[in-house]
Amino acid sequence: MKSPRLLPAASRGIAVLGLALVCSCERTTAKRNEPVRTDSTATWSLASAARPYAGTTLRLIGEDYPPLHAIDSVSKIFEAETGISVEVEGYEAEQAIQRITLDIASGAGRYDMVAQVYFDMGRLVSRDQVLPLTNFLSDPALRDPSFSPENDLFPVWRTMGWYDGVPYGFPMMVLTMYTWYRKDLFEDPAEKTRFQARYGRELQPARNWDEYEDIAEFFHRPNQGLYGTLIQGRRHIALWQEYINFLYSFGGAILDTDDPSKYGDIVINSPQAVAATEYYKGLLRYSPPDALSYTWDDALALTQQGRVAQLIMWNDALYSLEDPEQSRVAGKMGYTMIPAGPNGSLHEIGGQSLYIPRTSKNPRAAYLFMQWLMAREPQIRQQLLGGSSPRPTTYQDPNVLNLPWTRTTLDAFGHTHPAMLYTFPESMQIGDVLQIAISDALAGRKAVRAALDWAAMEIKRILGDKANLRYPPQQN
Amino acid sequence: MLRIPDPRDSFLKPAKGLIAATVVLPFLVLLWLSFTNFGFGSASGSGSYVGLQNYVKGISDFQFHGSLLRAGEFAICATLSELVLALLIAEVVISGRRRHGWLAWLTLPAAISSVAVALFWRLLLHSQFGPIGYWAGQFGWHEGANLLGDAGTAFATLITVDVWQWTPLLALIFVVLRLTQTASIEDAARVDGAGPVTTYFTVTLGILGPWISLVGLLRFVEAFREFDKPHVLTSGGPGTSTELMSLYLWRVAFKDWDFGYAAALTVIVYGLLLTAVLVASVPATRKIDES
Repeated sequence: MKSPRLLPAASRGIAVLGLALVCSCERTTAKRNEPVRTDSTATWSLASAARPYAGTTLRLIGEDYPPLHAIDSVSKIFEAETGISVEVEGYEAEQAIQRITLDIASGAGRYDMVAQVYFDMGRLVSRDQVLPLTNFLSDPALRDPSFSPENDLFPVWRTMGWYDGVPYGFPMMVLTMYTWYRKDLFEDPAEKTRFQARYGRELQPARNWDEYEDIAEFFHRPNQGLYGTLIQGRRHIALWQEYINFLYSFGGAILDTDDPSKYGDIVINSPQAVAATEYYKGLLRYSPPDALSYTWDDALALTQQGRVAQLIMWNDALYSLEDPEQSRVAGKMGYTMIPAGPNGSLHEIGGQSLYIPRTSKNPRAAYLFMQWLMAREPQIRQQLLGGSSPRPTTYQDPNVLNLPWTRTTLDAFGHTHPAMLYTFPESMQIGDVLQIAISDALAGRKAVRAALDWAAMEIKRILGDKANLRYPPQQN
Repeated sequence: MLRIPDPRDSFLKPAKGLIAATVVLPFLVLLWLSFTNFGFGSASGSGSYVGLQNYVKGISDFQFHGSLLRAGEFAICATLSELVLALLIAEVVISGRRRHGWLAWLTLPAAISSVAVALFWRLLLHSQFGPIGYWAGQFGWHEGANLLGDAGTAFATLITVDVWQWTPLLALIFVVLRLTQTASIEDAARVDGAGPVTTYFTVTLGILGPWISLVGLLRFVEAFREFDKPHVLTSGGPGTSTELMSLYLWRVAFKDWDFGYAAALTVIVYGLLLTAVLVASVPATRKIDES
């Protein structure tokens, strides 16, 4: 049964975001044909803008993975152009979040820029811990006149960088999840014949969740070291983020809202959510036996070893997956959209944004670096080193277009719900509740309905009067 | 009248100062925090005085109660297993010829940090990359390939890893105690005609009893506050099945960013633990004093 309110809401969201993405690309394309530099751009240069800060050392902290490594690598160019040094520190995802919070809250001020998951933005803003970009953007000494974030970045900048109508950050990368599959297996004539004989249709990447399950069943051969799929079932942020792709595709949601910074009715225990969770749990049959202790690290490692036929996974891991020195399946993988559920294919948009903490000792130099990072050339370089650019023009570069996952990434950007992750201050707590509830359901410690009812009650406890229960547990 | 100062006072003053600076002062800060709403979770965590609100919340927090019970269960199971196994290993070492070689090996697991131990076991148990998980799966023992992902086995696995790490150290302590405290009296008992089993249960354990209690108490306290292993191996899951007390306090403090509430829970835990230790340690220390 579909929620009468959720479906239109989701559809509106997809339409708005998809249209906005397209419009943005069109604007960018048009912009290329126009003279870019104005009078002021003729006089502004990075070198002269950075001159007062030459000799300064900026420190950036974030999650230790390829996109941050890419920034570290390209920052050498910035250093050469400006004389401003950039030190990049990387930590495990949750550890990075904690270090950032403690550094800012304690006033230590070690970091001039933080790459923080954007769904923690509301908490940082409500605590007055990050600087709005407004003053920097309006300062002619700092603002590169050729940089127009409204036009140069994907509209998702509004979600990832704005809060309460004020810009606070630039997206460090725009991440999304989609289906990875073993193209070599899917194109193997013998496999195709066997699949045709067994399921009465051609073997091809799953278009819907039924097909996804059939393919998982078909390729599930544990004795040969091959698993039909894999879910990231450990109680970890990876579980929450993977699960919501299923949840929204089935027509469910956590809160009924189209605006990630606004609250809505609590609907995590809706019939659609129950169906999504039952389906998700069913995939354990075709996953490695200890999938309930896996995160994205295990998912990537097993895929690199060629042990998974298909899975839903993050695009930021593709650089490692397609590196022949790290992966046995480099060049053998295919990428496609998440299978469609009752609500279509909906791809989560994740990632970190770059913010300037209020405790930064060099906020103006930090802004210059962030602004430079968003420019076309640095973005292309980052993309080729493992980034996931927030700038549409990056994806027009021939080298970027040649990456085997680029087209799927762009397709996925156009099929999302605007509020799969929230930016209000309680967002991380809600994610934590979801991790526990789904973990309980997957491990069979609670029935799916009971686990989601518990999650609904916990979210109500956290949000109080800000949100109502659409499905009070006693009535289910 | 001339007062001659007790020289012990001069020696004790720096130590007292050190205790005040490193134990009492932080505890007072913790106590103060527990009466505030201090936190980084939202704009409301300003550090205002909220009276007993955090304590009242803690009393009715079922997740906290569950984590306390699990921590207690973990500590009791781990400590008892380690004591029994350590006594057995000590006997093997005492009766063996190359004691020095054994002693070096016994110090090894305890010398490794808990985080490293947990990471090492994470790899050992991985069904695709670790020998234990892999061979368990190959022999068709699917539960063995999923020791950390199954709510029924994850808790027992944590205990096993703790036992692996700490049993050798306890065995080392018991070897030293056997050699220094009981050897001569055991010899006398044997001269009097007592058999080895009778000697062990009546003489050896009789003498070691208070020491075993004290060592067990220290291990219990440490196991009760275990954090690294569940954090690295299971993150407290599946669900909350391995969320021990320390991990829950960490979640309140560093995921919910509610330091005031986390401080109140810590004070409650401290009170419970202090009471338990005082009650449990009195008979053992009295016996050691007597002997």
